[in-house]
Parts: sequence; C-alpha cells; structure tokens
Amino acid sequence: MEDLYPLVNYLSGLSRIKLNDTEKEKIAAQLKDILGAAQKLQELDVTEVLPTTHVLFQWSSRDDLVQESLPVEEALRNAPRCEQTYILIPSLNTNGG
Amino acid sequence: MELYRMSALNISKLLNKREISSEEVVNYFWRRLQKLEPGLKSFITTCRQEALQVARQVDELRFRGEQLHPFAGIPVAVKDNISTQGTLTTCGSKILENYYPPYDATVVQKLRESMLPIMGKTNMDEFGMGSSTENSAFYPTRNPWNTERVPGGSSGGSAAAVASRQLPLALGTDTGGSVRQPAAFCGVYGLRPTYGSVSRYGLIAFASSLDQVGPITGTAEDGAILYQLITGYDNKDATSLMPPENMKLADFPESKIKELKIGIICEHSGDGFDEEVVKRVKEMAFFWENHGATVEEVSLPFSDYALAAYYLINSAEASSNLGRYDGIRYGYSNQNVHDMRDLYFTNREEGFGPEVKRRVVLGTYALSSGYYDDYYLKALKTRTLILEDMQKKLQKYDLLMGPTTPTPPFQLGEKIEDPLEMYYSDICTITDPLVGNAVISVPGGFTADGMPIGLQLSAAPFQEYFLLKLARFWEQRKGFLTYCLDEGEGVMK
Repeated sequence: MEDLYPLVNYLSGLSRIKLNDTEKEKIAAQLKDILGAAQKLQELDVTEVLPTTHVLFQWSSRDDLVQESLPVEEALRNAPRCEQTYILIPSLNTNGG
Repeated sequence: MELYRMSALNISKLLNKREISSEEVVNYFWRRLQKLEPGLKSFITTCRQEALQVARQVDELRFRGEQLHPFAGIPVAVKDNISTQGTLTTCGSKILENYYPPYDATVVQKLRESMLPIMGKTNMDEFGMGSSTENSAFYPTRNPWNTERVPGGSSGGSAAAVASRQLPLALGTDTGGSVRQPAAFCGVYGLRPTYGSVSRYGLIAFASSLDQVGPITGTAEDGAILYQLITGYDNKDATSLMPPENMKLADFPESKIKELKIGIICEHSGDGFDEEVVKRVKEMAFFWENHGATVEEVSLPFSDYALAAYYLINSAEASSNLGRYDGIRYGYSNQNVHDMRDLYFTNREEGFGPEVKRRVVLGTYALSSGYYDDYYLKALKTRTLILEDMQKKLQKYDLLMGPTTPTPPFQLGEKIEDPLEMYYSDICTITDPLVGNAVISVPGGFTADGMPIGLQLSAAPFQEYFLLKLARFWEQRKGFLTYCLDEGEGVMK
C-alpha cells in the first residue's frame, strides 16, 4: 500500500479535524495497518448479498403530539457564547472578515 | 457490617428488615470509595450529596411502609456517556469536559424512579472507543486485582468500581464488548442485552447500530434485577423494541439444563489465545456436560471477517455521530478562532483524543466517495453473512460459549501505541453486537497470578433471562470471588 500521508491530509479536511504533521504521519502508518487488516473482507464474494444496517428493527413511530420542549435558557446553558436567546458564532467568512 | 461482601439483593434484605438504613449504606460505600478511589480512578464525578438525599428519602418512605423497588437506597454508578440531568457528563472526552446535560437518559430516569442513589459517573475510554480505559481524556482506571493491569474498557470505571465494591451496582455500555470485556478483566458479571431492549435515549452515541446499555454487577442475580429495571420499550428511541410476549417473564427451569445444546466456538481458541483462558473454557464445557447438557464444537466461519467489518462499521457510524461536536451549542470551545472553518478544525483538534481522531478519519475514509463500496458497503454485506450464519447456528444450539477475551488483563501501556493489537483484544466480543444477540460475561476463575478470567455465553435476541438464569446456576456452584479488596487492605497487588 502506498504512503497514506496525502490521503490522511485529505481526510483531515473532510473530518474537520486539524492534524499536525506528526499526527498525520502517525495516523497514516496506523491507517495502513488497519486498512491492511480490513483487506480481508475483499476475500468474500458479496455480490448477491444485501447490506445489513440494523439487525433488529421494528418500525417504531409515535403520535405527532405537541409536548413540552426544553426551556430556551436550559437549552442554552451549555453554549460557550450566547446573547439573549441566540448562540454566537464567529464570522462565516473564511477570510476572517 | 461488611456490606462489600454482600450482593445488592442481600443488602436489600437488610434494608427491608430495618437492620440498616439506606443512609448508612450510602455512607458505608462512600467511605470505601474514598479509601480505594485514589488508587483506582474509577470515577470522573462523584455525587455524594445527591446520593445521600435519595437515601434519606428512601429511609423515610420505608419507615412509612411504602412499597419500594428491591434496590431502592442501594448506590449505583453510571458510565459517563449516559446523560444525567445537571450532573457533569463528559463521555471521557475533553470536548465534553464542561457538559451538563439538560435531561436524563431514560435508563437514568428509571434509576431515579426506583430511587437508586447515583453515587457517581464512571471513567471510560473517550466516546467508548477503547478496550482499556486508557483512552480517557482524564486518567486511566486501574484494575483492582492488580493496579499495573488495565481494567478493560470502555466501561472500565464501572467494572473496577464494582469489582472493588466501591458500590455493588453499575451501568456500562457495550458497542463491541465494552460491558463484557471489562467485566471479564475485573471478575464481575456484565450483560449486553439484546439491541433495542434497553433504551438508548440519552446515551451519547458512538456507533448507533451497535450501542447498548447493560448492567455490571457482582452477582448474576443482581444483574437480573438491574436489567429488569432498565429494560422496556421507550418511544423516545426509534430503535427501541417491544419484547415478544413470551420473552417478558421467560423462566428457565434448571431441570432443563440437561436438554441444552451448547456450541463452543472453535475459532476462539488456538493462536493468540492464552492457555489459561482456554483451560477455563474447557472447564466450563465440562461443567455443563456434567449437568447433562450436550456440548460440541461449533465453527463461526466468518469470525476472521467480523473484526474488520466491526471496526469499519463502528468507525463509519462514529465519524457521522461525532460530526455534531463543534463547540458551538455545547462542549469545548477555543475562543481565539478567526472564522467558522477555523472553529470546527480547532475545537475538534483540541477536543478529541488520538483514538477518536483515528476512528473519525478511518470512518470518513470508509464513507467517502470511491471507497464506500469497498469498505463500508462491504462491511454491511459481511454483517449480513455473519447474521445469517449466526441464525443458523442458534437454530441448532441454545447457547454459544467461549472466552470473553483472548488473554487475561494486559499491562497498562502494553497496547496503547498499537491500535490494531488493541482491536484484536475484542475478537471474542464483536460478533454478538453485529447480530443483536443477548450475551453475558461471567467470572470463570483466575490465572495462576490471580487475574480474573471471563467466560461468555451468548444466545438469541431476548434471551437475557435465560442467560442470567444459567449464569446464576454457574455462580451458585462455582462461586468465584467477585470482590477483591478486603476492608482495611490497600489495593491488591
């Protein structure tokens, strides 16, 4: 398997996790081992097999009734930054504007 | 009174006879916790005052002659990925180090309704990702039988707290073995109930198609009572199941043991399996044979594929579930960021630990365009093969058995730098979650150097009471010690 550093670099972006060079190198090496072990699955012919996402599943729905919601102040209690009933976030402009 | 040597049920009898009060029980275990906790680090948060308050209420109700749950007034620990309203719930992660849930998980609500004092929140591998509790963002938990060894994981805090009898009851959660493996490493009972039989509402999601809450206890009987308390349909959990009518109070007469057909999983021995562990499995096989059951070897031909399928599925589900952690609505948040993109990247970099990052990256890869078919979809299809094979096996056998872990508890630090080797330590516990079975780990004796060995019994979905009954039968005849620290002693070396 080729050097996975460029792949980890790309996945870091997709995962929205900043990784430093040392972490990228370490994860690349570990991912190589893990994906090497996962190659085992390629031995199986599963062309005709359907995927299983849930083993035991009953359609479980409830009546659409209005119920008491969490009070706004409770819902905001864990928010790192808020003002009145709003959560504050930094600028959406990725240029820092 | 040496309460630590007693089961929760026996403590309950003392409470009913008014030989002791709930307040005294909570104070007793609190003193024990204070003495043992510094050496073990089983808890992230302790809640003495809240526990005492519940205990006093229980005493008052009991004094008035009110009908109470058998475990009312007996302290319980809750794993720190289960939401407790107003009590810190970190999930073992820095990203939730300041998170106080605004609501209770359904299982916690049930504990509160039955008036079990919650004594604390137990340590765990971050988000449940790990098999040693070394991936906690705060500190590792140590095995009470030997503090140089790991207690297993991810519910290592719950298992160590019960094994050292800082309290008699705990809840853990099991995605790929996180109740059973620490129960085995700490020499106690750990049940992974059928997927859907216990509500996941308020359980912080790791891999949603696999996560399940289960009891960790010092006896099988305590496990049965605690399971009965937490199980049940919950309309707040879309994957919650109504148990079939005949399973609700399924009883299993001991006289039927001689009619049982038991399969020993042959892939769970041989290379990579410790001799002492394999010996204990054989002893258990003889035990059932001596009681008239038919025991024969059974092959699970997809065992080798199950581990790869399991790690791809759990990482894929985790990468999706953990997408919510951005430090905006709750959780760790670095305030010195320039913009939203920087906020996501920085908070997740600083908030997640190495194993979580590794799994999110792996899961993102397995789900990404171009790799999805070869990894995630292939893993889901393999899951189908494993499920179909298991269904066939459970038509032929009432029960499958084997070791819970391939080796006895390993040393702290031994596997932490080698994730693949750590993943292999879950080889015996990952198949049952993939197929939704009910499965229990029971104490199976000790190694020559005094470390516990756990044995696993698995059965078809909704067979929890059958398993617990067999575990009880085993317990009554083998009686392995499930607590390891005598009053007045330090931590056992």
